[in-house]
Amino acid sequence: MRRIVFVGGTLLLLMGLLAWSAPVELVFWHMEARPHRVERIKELCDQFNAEHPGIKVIPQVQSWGEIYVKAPAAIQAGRGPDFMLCIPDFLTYIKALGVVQPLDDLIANLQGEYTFIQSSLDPYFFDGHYWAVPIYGMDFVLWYRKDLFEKAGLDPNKPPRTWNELLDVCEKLKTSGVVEYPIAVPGAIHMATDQLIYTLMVVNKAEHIFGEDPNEIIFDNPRTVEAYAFYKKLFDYSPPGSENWKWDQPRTAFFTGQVAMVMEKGHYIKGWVDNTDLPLEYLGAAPVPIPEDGQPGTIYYSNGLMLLTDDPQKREAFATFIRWLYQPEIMSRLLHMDPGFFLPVTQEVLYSDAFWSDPIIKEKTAAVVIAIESSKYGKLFGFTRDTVNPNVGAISAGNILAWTAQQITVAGLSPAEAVAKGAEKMWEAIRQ
Amino acid sequence: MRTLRQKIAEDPFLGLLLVAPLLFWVIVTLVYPLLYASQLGFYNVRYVGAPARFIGLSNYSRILGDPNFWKACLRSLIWTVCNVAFQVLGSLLVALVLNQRFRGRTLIRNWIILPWVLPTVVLAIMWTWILDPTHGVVNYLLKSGGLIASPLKFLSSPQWVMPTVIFINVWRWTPYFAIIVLAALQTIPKELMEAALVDGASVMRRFWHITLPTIRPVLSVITLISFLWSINIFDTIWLLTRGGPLDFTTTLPIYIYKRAFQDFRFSEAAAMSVIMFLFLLGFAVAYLRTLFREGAEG
Amino acid sequence: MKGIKTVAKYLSVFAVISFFASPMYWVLICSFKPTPELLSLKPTFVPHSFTLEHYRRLFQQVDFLRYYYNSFLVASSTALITALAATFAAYSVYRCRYPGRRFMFRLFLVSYVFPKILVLIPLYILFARIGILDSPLALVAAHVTLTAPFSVWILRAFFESVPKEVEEAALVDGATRVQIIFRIFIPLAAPGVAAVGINAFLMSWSEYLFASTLVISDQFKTLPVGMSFFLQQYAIEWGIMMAGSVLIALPPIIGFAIAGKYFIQGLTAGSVK
Repeated sequence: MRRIVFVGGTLLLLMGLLAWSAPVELVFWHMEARPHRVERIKELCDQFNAEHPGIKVIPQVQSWGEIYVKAPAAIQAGRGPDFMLCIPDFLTYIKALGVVQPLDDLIANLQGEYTFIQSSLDPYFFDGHYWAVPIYGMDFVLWYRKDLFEKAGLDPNKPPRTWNELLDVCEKLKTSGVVEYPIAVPGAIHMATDQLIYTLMVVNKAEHIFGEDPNEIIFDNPRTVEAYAFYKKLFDYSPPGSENWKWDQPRTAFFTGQVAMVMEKGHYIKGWVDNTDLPLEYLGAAPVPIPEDGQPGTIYYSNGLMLLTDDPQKREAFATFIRWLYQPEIMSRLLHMDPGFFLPVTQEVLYSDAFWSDPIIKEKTAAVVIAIESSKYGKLFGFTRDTVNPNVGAISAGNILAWTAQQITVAGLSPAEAVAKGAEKMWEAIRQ
Repeated sequence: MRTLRQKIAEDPFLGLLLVAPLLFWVIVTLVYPLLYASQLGFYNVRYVGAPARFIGLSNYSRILGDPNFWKACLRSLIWTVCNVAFQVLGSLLVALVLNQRFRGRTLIRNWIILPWVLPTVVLAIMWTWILDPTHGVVNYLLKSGGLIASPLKFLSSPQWVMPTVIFINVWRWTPYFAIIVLAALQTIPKELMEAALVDGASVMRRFWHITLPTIRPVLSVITLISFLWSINIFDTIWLLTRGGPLDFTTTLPIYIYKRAFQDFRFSEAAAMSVIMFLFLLGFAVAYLRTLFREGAEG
Repeated sequence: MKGIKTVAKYLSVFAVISFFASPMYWVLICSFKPTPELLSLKPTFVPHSFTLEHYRRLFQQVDFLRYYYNSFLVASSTALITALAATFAAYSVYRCRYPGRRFMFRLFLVSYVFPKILVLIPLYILFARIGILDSPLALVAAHVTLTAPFSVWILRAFFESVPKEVEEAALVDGATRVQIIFRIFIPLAAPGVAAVGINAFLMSWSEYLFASTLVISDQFKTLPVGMSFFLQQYAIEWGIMMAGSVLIALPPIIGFAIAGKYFIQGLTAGSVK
């Protein structure tokens, strides 16, 4: 009997010691699925784990397409991650499950050392608290092929700056015979289409979809209709089948020279290097063209990390991880997993040598500067006012902006009719 | 003292024990979902874990006033009626052809069901390839036969998509029902047919007065089965078109799925599926009653 | 006169056969055509050359073996559990007497009427709550529901064909009921049990709705879900899809070659009566 107690007691003691000394595990879900990004994130986590023996960050890759369905189910079953990547509307969607933790002290702590780029932080502050810590931003620019511009007799250093100029350039490219389709636009019911449409809305001063009252939809207005009408014009210049295109198809069309222009985010820089044999100087970048009576702008949003566990040890470990990640040299390595695409969220990183020392960023400094400059005028639908509508997640999850576009391109409605229907669908989506 | 026969027949304990696993399974995975879906329908759950309020019959009244719901019902109706009609007719036709005497008859009869054996995803890949506007063999044949000028977008044009998916589903299910009809055809007594031939009856008369009455019960049964299965189909349509383009092939099951997993309206979707279930139950009961009544009279 | 009739007869048979067989033949030969020939704007009906490159690339670009394994795991488990559960239930319903027997039978038939979509959402929530969502177990549970009740109906004719005298003789010899089921019934009604098994396997192998909703992680995905992702891409890798189709269709076809006869027996006997 005594022996049993002795052995049992020792075992318990050992287990206790083990548990106490076992590293705090943090399961991290992120949606950066491209192989080189998966690698870089894993590298950084491995390095952090090596430098911090008491903490183990475990990254797991998910896909944006599945995560809206997968996350609630996993969280409900108690198998959700400890922290995960988010964008502002996805945050509100998960927040409704009651698991997202406020991060006010962490943000305050970071603000002591770093100066945030406000537009990256603002969307994550509502209901009196900060709900995520931003890690990188992204926005749209106009990419164009200088080589094809030259062939068509256009000045490669004078990209279109207004909507009229853009349409003009499309016509010239088409009639020159250099390309059959001057520009590629996505058209599928997908985030890719949402974002392009919203960018067009922003430059046309139609960036608000909610009124002053977050429960009021003001999507149906003349400036939105104009944006959709302009989208249709671009769609007509885009290769057939565009109504099914998402992120990849415009990329392929651009890199193979099927089209000469695309409006998209910064991964076109590395994409150019990986997918064409042409020198980087043939890749042109310009701010998104704006209508005559418009404003400079683009869709802009930051990706952040949100904490989903209230365990104090894990909270502590998460804070350590973030503080480590925010150091300019480390953060720059994260941002360099796709140079020029992931933009800094603190001035310290923005002005650091580490960030600008990447060879690709060095070569395309002008393009990166354009992206960063544009982000000053960047907006995100649902987050253009001081208060956030908690149901904005339903509008982005349902890709209603894209759905409205398909009412024009597939169902043949006029822009005005389509926008009216889109507004209806939005009302329905935010209804309690 | 019970006879041995009686002993075998009456053994309630064992009987219940044996049926228990399946019964349990059916209760958990069919009865419980029905009850839970009914309950869900009275709340406003948007997705798993989201906070919810009791809202009574709001979902039901909203659904009945939703034009998209009725459009989906209409599409389901068109889809189902066309499928049933073509499957029953098609299976009758195929069965008649295969009922003849020819070399390799047994082999063909055993393998004609192959389209039905193919997994749905293979069906989808196969037909998407065959009907592809650029590389598909059908468009090529139509073009070289001079029937069309530019390729038909079978699965992506609003006009063609519904007939196309109906055709594909009919192609798949006809052999399945055909072998059932074929088995029924083979129960027709040979003497009856021969007597009719001797009497000089034409093919049509033989068919109308001998064949049809004999297989009528089977045709009625496969009509019901085809109806119930067709109306429930999700996989085939989803894999071919995802309910698209837009919502041109969004039948009721697809509409329910989209409401749940794309619009995040779990409760509403549950309410719709309950409505669908009640309709099917009512239909099946009414259909069977009519069948039995006719059978009793006929 | 007779000649024309024969010609017409064989013509009709040929028409029917080619209508159903040609799409499958087409996919088969396309899976072996090298890419230029495959994508040529002038399709070749008799292939000019032969290659296995699509099969090779299939395994490189798609996690095919994993999907195959998952499908096999789920489908065989479903087939086994369904066969057992349905056989026991069938014996109970057709060969035993107790109150509520008829009700059970009707309940199993009515399962026909349940729309899959009705069952999907509650099962999804239930499985999420008990933590088996996103696992093969959830799929097997759902698939058994789809086939087992109807299988009881299929087994009816087979069970009724087993003479009561054989049972009685065994009982006189002192056999227990369970022994009777395994030593007499299953062997005698083997075609029926095989039919039920193969039907369950086919259905589970092909099933998409539950497979795509109840399983989300890539590591547990089955073939229909894994492959359908590629169908949604614009620049579809057609060669790989053809090869994949052939390989996915193979197990059901082989299974059907083995047990198809019995399946057809069960199907026709059960429905014609």
